[in-house]
Formats: sequence, C-alpha cells, structure tokens
Amino acid sequence: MKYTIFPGCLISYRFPEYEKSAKLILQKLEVEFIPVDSFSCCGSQVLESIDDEKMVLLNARNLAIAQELDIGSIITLCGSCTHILKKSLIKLHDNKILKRINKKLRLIGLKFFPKKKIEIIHIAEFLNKKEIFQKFQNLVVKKLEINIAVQNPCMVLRPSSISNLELKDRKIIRNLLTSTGITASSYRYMNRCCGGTMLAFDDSIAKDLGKLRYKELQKSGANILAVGCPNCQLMYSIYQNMLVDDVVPSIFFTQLLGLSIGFSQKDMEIDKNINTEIISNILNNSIKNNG
Amino acid sequence: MNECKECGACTNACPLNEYDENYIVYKIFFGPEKDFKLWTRCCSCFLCEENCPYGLNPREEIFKIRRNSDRSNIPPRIIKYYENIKRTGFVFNIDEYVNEERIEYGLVKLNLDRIKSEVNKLFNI
Ligand code: SF4
Ligand code: SF4
Repeated sequence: MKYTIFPGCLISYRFPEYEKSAKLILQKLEVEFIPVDSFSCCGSQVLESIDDEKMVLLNARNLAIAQELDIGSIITLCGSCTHILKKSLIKLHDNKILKRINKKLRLIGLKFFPKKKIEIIHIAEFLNKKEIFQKFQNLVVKKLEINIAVQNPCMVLRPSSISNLELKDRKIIRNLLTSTGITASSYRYMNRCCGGTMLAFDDSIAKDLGKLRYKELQKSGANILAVGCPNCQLMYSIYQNMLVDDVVPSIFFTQLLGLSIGFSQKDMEIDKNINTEIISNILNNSIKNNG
Repeated sequence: MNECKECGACTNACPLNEYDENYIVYKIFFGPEKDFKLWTRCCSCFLCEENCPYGLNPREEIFKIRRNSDRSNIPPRIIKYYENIKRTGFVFNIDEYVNEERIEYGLVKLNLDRIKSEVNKLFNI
C-alpha cells in the first residue's frame, strides 16, 4: 500500500519539524511513501463554521489527488485535518453530495471514486497498528530518561462515531512513548482539549484556557509535554512562553520517538523549538544517565 | 431525534464552561434564543457530544448556528482566514519562504501555483 503525509497549513507555516520527524519515522519503518505537492489545507474549523459544502469540496479535491496517485492511506498529523478529512470522506459516500462535488471537480480535471478505498489515519493511530507497533519496537535503540505528560488531540479521539477509537485505546501517544522506556505522569487535561481552536476564534479566551492548563501541567511533575497536533503545540509552546514564567516545554511526540530509534537532535530539528535550550538540557542529561 | 433533557452533562464536560460557569451549553444551543455573540465560544472538542447520555450532538448544533448566522456575526479574523482559503488554498500564509524551509527540512516543495489556481476555480474566483 502507498502512504503519504497530509501536511496541512499550520505545520507547514510553523512546525515543519513535526512533518519531518513523522516522515523520517515512516521511512525507517520502510512504508512506501509518496510525497504529494498539491494538497491544499483542510479548511479547518474556519471552513466548517462557514460553509460545509465547500469543506467537502476542498477535501474531495485532496482525496481525489491522492486517489490519482494510487495512495491508499493518508497519514495526518493534525487533529483538525484528521477530523475534517474523515468527515468529508464520509459525506462523499452520499450519492447526492458526490454528484454535486464531482461535477465541480470536473472543472479542474479531477474525480473522486467512492469505491476506491482510501484511509485517513492520524500518525499516532497508525503507529499503534499491531504490525507497525511491533516493527517500531524493534527499531528502539535508546531509552530517554524523561518524564512526560501528554496532550491528546481531541479531534483524533472524538467523536467516537468517526474516530472508531474505544475509550481504552485513547492512550495512543502515551503508549508509544512509554513503550520506549520513557515514563509518564498523569495530566488532568490529557483527554480534555488544549483549547487551541480558540486561538483563531477568540484569543483572549484561548489565553485564559491556556493558563488553567499550564498550572496543571506544572503540577503534573512532568518535565516535557508531548503533543500530537500543531494547535496543541501552538498553545503549549509559543503561548505558554508568553503567559507564564516556569514553562514545561512541549514537543511533538514524533520527535521523541525519532530520538529513541536513533535519529539525532539535529535530525529531529530540536533547535526549531521555542524552548530548545531547556529541552536539549533535559535530553542531554538523559543521555548521560543512560551511559 | 431525542430531546434535550437539560441534564447538564454536556455543560459539565465543556472546557468553556470550566472557564465561565455562566456558559451553559444546552441552553445556548438548544434553547429558543440563540445568542450569536457566543458564535466564538466553542473549541470544537466534542466533549459535549461524548458526554450526552441521550446521544445529542451540541457541537453540531453550534456549527449549524454558525453556518446559518448572518455574516456580520462572524469574527473578523475568521473572515480573513476564510478569504485566505479561497484565495490561496490555505488558512495561513504559505509562500515561497515556507517552501524554502520545507526543502531545507527534506520535505516536498508545494506546488503553490497549482493549488491556488485549482482552489480558485472551485471557489469561483
Ligand atoms: S465541542 Fe464546543 S460546546 Fe461542546 S464541549 Fe467542546 S467546547 Fe463545549
Ligand atoms: S444536550 Fe444532552 S447532555 Fe446536554 S443537557 Fe441536553 S440531554 Fe443533557
């Protein structure tokens, strides 16, 4: 099966280290990776709030492009992209909608084929697939002596009707990290939303939601927060730094996984993080302890 | 369709209610009066839907209200992002500078011209 990564816009705009770390992990897992240069963004809650037919149309274009390249699985990195692509895919299986959308896609020489199977899957869920998880375990060469908290991406976990994740499966990110020997603290907001979408809709509320979370994060005892969505990363990196003094630095979970399978800090672009220094210190100490 | 029993489970789970206890999800979204000023008060987390014992979906109602509301109710930043999507295919400003960084990171260079022209056609620009 052919795989690709859906970059979305916030990742390209601000956090390419997430895409790079995910891509390097996929390559090490030897999945057949097809780069796609013509995906637009998913439209996010912006488009979902204004025009849901256009939301389906924009993403039908993305899906049709993937189908044209024979891609069977689109791996997403962002919670919002995951939800919007999945939702659009479901709507495209309604014949009436499909007809209207394909008529528009014809304008640009594309067509969506409902019978051609295509899967949308977030990177954390993908890495939790049984055979992939096994393969990943065999690649682990380094145990990072760090203690993490996790912020899960809401729109990957919920709604249950679309996510197909059972409650018990919701430790998808934590599982992966602890399987490499990393320890984890519990964090009150792990499954309770970072509030990041509010940054677009009303950033003063977003900041207040952030402050509630930063306090709990400090209480958790974790020295690093692992996230699996660029909106979470925006909330916990840039905004945490703006709003409180004692930050618990946040990092994409794929960067930590990459380190544990032998990639360097340079490969994982740790430098790109707003809290590079704190993170490098924690990581370097961890490696020292490791001998 | 089930009716809202006003049990409050959605509200108890809502991050916006934790922040402002006067924010009662079900009143706003299933009540007779829709307060459009609250257009912005939902971070799309699906906790309400997940927690409703009667299988209702307040979040979807919120988004319906948003879609049916007058354009003057939409926050200016959201309008700007919407225009960006129509004009370029992206919410944020993805330009050649972004592409340079992508190349440096070993990521595929985005074909911004193709994306823009096709999205423009789909949005009738
Ligand atoms: S989806 Fe919106 S209304 Fe529902 S719990 Fe989350 S923030 Fe509250
Ligand atoms: S929407 Fe559901 S959870 Fe919320 S008050 Fe009504 S019945 Fe209760």
